[in-house]
Amino acid sequence: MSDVKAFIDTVGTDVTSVAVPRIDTLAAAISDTALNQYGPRVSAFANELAKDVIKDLSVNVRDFMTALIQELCQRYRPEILGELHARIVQGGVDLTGQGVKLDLKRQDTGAVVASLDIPIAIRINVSDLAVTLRDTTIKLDVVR
Amino acid sequence: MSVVDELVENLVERNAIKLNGTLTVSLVEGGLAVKGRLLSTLRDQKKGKDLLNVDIPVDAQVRVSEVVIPLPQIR
Repeated sequence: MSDVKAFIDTVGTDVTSVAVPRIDTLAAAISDTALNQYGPRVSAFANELAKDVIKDLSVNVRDFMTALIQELCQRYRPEILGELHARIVQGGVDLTGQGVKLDLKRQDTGAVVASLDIPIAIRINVSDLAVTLRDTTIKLDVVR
Repeated sequence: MSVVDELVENLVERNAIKLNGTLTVSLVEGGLAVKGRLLSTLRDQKKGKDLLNVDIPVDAQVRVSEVVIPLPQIR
C-alpha cells in the first residue's frame, strides 16, 4: 500500500508542478482581458444604466415626496405643551420639564393622533464669577 | 446759600471716591451669593491727598425663586 501511495504522491507532485503554472498563466490572461477589455465596458454600461434609472425615477420620487410632505403638513399640526422650571442650585441652574409633550393633532378636527412625552432634566453648570474693581472713581457733582 | 450748602458743595466738588476690590458672584441653593471686599478711598482732588479709607466686607445673598417658562406654541 505504501508503494501505491508513494506513486500517487509522486505523480500528483509532478502534475501539480506542470499544471499549476499553466493554470496560473491562463488565469492571469483571463483576468487581464476581463480587466482591460470587459471591465470598462461593464463599468460604462453600469454608469449609463444608473444615469437612466436616476433620470427616469428622480422626477417621480421628487413629486411623490413633495406631495407626501404637503399632504402630511396639511393633515397634521404639531403642538408642544408644558413648562420649563428653572431653579438655581449650588454651582448651576437646574432646568426641569413639567408636562412637556409633543402632540400631533389633526388639522381639521383637532383630535390628537399621537402624543410623545418629552422628559427634560438639564443641569447647567455655572462657575463663579469674579468682579474686580481697580481704581474705580466716583465723582460727585453738585446740582445747582 | 447757607454755610452748610457751601460746605457740602465744596466737599462734593473737591472730593472723589476711589473703589478697589474684588467681588465673587456664585450660584448657591436658591439664589446668588456675593462675597468679597471693597476698599474705598475718599480723596481731596485739589490737595491730591487721601482723606479717608474705608474697608467694606461684602457678604450678601440674593434669593431667586423658581422661574417658570411656558413653552412657546408652534403656529
